[in-house]
Amino acid sequence: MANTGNVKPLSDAELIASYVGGELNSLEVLVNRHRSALFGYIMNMTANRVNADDVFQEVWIRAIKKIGNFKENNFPGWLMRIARNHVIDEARRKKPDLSLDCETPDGMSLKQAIPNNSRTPDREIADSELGLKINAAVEKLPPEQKEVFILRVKSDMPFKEISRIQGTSINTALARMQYALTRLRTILKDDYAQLERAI
Amino acid sequence: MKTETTHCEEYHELILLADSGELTHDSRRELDMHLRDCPACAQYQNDIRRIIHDSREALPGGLPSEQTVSNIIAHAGNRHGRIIFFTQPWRAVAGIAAVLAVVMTTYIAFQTPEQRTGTSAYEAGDLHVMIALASEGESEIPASDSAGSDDAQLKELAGRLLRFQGFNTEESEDPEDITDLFLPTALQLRNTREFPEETNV
Repeated sequence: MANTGNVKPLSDAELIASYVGGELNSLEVLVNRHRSALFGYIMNMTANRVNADDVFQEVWIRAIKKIGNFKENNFPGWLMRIARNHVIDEARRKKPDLSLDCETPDGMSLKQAIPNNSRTPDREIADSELGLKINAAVEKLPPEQKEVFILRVKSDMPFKEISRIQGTSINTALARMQYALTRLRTILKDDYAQLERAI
Repeated sequence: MKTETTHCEEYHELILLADSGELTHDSRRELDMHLRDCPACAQYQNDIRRIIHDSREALPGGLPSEQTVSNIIAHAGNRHGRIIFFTQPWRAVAGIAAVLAVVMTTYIAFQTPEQRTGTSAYEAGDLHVMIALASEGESEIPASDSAGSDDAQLKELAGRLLRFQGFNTEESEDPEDITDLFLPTALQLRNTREFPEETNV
């Protein structure tokens, strides 16, 4: 009979040690474990999907190069700092890419015009008017506030780690999140009120 | 004195920390007590939870393509050998030893016999002449006891020379030593063969 008992998954530190010790599969587990959080951050901090894939790959190549010397406790935070540095480097090096906020001849933004293949049927909000409003509002946030918001909402990073990634205090990170939420709350207030009435 | 608004803003921070799981047990209890008594903060908590939930769904996300992940794993595989090499010294030493063994084997296999024995072509030629002399002498030496003894000695030396030339690498004598041993005996046998009657007379 197969053993159906719960096996505790290896920690990031254990997987790193295993990879450095010769087990390539351990790295694959690490990549898959953190791909959603990392890709979510990159996707929202870069201009388009193709570029996000390139950045994702480059971040991991940089991480693999230094992984033998990794001594910290928080691997996703370390990974996110590499991603942030790369995003900043890219932004400085390249002229701005075609932004998703550029308007098409029909007056729509590219983000509205391009279908998002990553969306699943149960994610109806993304395609709704509310979803478009959220996207537009987040895009208009100051960069630091937007980054805190993305790191918290899409990458599920704790504020302690966000402050470390941004090189600031935890109070500053909390304040930036509050500003972002207050702004979104104001923008979405009417929509939520309408939804409440509809229910 | 704190105003009510300032007081509530501090709880707004606690609400954010509670949702990210960074609040201590005591602070959490204090927040829960405040939320029971403050409808504005309770509404704020509901609103931001809703905004965060909807934003998580609405903002672009998804996963990297399978090709991207495959590229990363392939890169890691290529680089992995180098990491192993530098982080595990015994493997590095074993690797270097294996490379040296291959180089040495190749070098020895492609050496000429002269290079292998360290003798020059001229010295090797001299040895061949001496072997020929010894063979010639062997066939004509009288079967006396003393001659038989010389014959055996000659055969042994010739054998050692042949082995030294590459048929048997177990021999490691210096060629000059062999020549010194062999030459007087060969000359003596030659003299014996060339002038036997004079010597006997």
